[in-house]
Amino acid sequence: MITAGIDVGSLSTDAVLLRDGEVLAYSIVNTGAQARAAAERAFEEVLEKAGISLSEVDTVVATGYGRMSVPFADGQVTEISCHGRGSAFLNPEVRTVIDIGGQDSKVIRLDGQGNVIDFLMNDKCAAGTGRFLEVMADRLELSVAGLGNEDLKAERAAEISSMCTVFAESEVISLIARGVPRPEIVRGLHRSIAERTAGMANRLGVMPRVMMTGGVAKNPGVVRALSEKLGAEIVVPPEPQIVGALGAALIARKKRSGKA
Amino acid sequence: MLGWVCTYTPEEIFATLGLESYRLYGDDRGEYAKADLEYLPVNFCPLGRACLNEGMGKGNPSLTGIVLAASCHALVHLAGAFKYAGERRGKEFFVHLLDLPRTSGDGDAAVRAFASSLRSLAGRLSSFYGVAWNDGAFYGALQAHQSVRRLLRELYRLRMGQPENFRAAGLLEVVRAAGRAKKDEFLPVLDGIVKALKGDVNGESRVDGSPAAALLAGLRRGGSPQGPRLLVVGSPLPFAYLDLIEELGGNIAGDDLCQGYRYCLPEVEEGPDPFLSLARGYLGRVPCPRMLAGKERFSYLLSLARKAGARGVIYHALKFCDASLYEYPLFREYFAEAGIPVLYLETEYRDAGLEQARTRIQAYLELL
Repeated sequence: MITAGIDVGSLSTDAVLLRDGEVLAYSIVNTGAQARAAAERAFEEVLEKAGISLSEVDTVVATGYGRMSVPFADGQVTEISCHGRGSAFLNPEVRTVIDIGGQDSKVIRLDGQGNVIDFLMNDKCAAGTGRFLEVMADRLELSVAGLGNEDLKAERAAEISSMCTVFAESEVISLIARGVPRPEIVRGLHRSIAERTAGMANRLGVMPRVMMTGGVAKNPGVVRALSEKLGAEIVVPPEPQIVGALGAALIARKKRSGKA
Repeated sequence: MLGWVCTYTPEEIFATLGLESYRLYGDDRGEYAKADLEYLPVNFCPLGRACLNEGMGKGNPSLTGIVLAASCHALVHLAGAFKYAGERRGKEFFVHLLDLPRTSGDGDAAVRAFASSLRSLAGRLSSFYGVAWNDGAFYGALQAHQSVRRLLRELYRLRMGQPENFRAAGLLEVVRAAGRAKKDEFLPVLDGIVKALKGDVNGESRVDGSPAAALLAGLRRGGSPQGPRLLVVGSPLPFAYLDLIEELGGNIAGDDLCQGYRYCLPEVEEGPDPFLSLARGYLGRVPCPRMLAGKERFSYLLSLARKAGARGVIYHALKFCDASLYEYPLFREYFAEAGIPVLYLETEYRDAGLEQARTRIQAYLELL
């Protein structure tokens, strides 16, 4: 049986194809301005990578903020349930999932079967999310992917006290003007994200093991800062950006066969 | 026309004095001009701001006064804003801030203090509007108000039986209409609604052409009984959010909203002193979040949740509402111990942010 999960996020749209519990292929494309077109692009790409045709896919489940815009999906499930299911599949010991995506962040508590037992989400503003890092990387003339390496060069972290993207950008401009080395500014930004996220995680209660998912988990600077802040080891899967889509594909499989 | 906002305001006093009253719900869309930002900061209770717009916007010149209760800091400041806005209108504008104890009806001192506040409200209204208090008129008004509240509670009972057939926003519309109507005129309308709904249950549905028909149409819904039953508590929330909860499969079986069930609760017993009777009846009702009766309130809400068969509770807080923010962590802990997960929802008393809420609510229903 082949199932697919499509996660239409604010910045990227990810698709995963699953055959009998094994990942066949995945794709990641930019969402852009049209969620539906992005979903179609991601799906076509993943089918091509796996070398299979549309007719071979049994069930498709859509997730992410654009989940209602995927006309070929057989069901819609929130990214909270999908990240939970995907994380538990990758590591059954995971009890806390921290997902920092393009425009929001979530902390999810799981039981031993990958079911969500509680969650908290910050969906009010994009501070401390992928969008925050994009704005800051742009200001520092770095690519988002380059932020992690820049952090590694730092000897200390600059103080960034504001959580708000707009105010934090002002602080960064001020630090640049004062001649603070760029790596220190980057580490300061990562710490500010970690503080914000750890606050939310501790509000819910962190139980090991902790897994981090979402695009921001690709940034080792944020992962390290968050791990220090939480005082807990953080597991990062090989491709953290596709965990939501993977969870959706797993739910599609369960939907089809009645088994997870 | 006299406006009022807080559920601790006994409308019976207005009716006894022959004054038309109108509850403000913060309907500030449409023809109402934005007035709030001239008087209140942006980080002020959004319901308060909306009530100021509704009461003092250009589209509502008929309001000649307002009675607010000192139930939270926002309403205290709102009284100040109404006072300034009223003065700017050029005509004398009645503003009264009703002193309200922070304890519920257990203590006799609180009841006597509140009775005295009510007496002074009646006195100020009498002299401002040139009207006289009459005990006979009071007992007549009391009867009509009690009957309306009884019928509203009956509606809530019917809804609790089959929440999948009721639209929560529609039920709140009926409660809202009650808060704005002359009770003796509204009684037959409400009676028609209750009878028609009982007819639905017995398979003998009928809708006549009365004002009840529109309210009835908004009340009915055909949801699935499989959806989880929920209790909605906290600050008043925009109707679009209630509709969204139902669209996603939730069945709202009960509420503890000041524009909802709490309005229907006061039971006032007739006694020799009308003000003491009112004070006892209004304070004796299940307390609102700003009262010093946390555990008593929580145990009542838990029993309401159990009675409604609720598997979950949605706690709504208006942005910048201190009372909700203080209460919520304790509330969540209390319900978690009872095995009922609570979803926190925050709005600015507008339909904005519905899509973010869609994920939050859908994930919560998946969890249930």
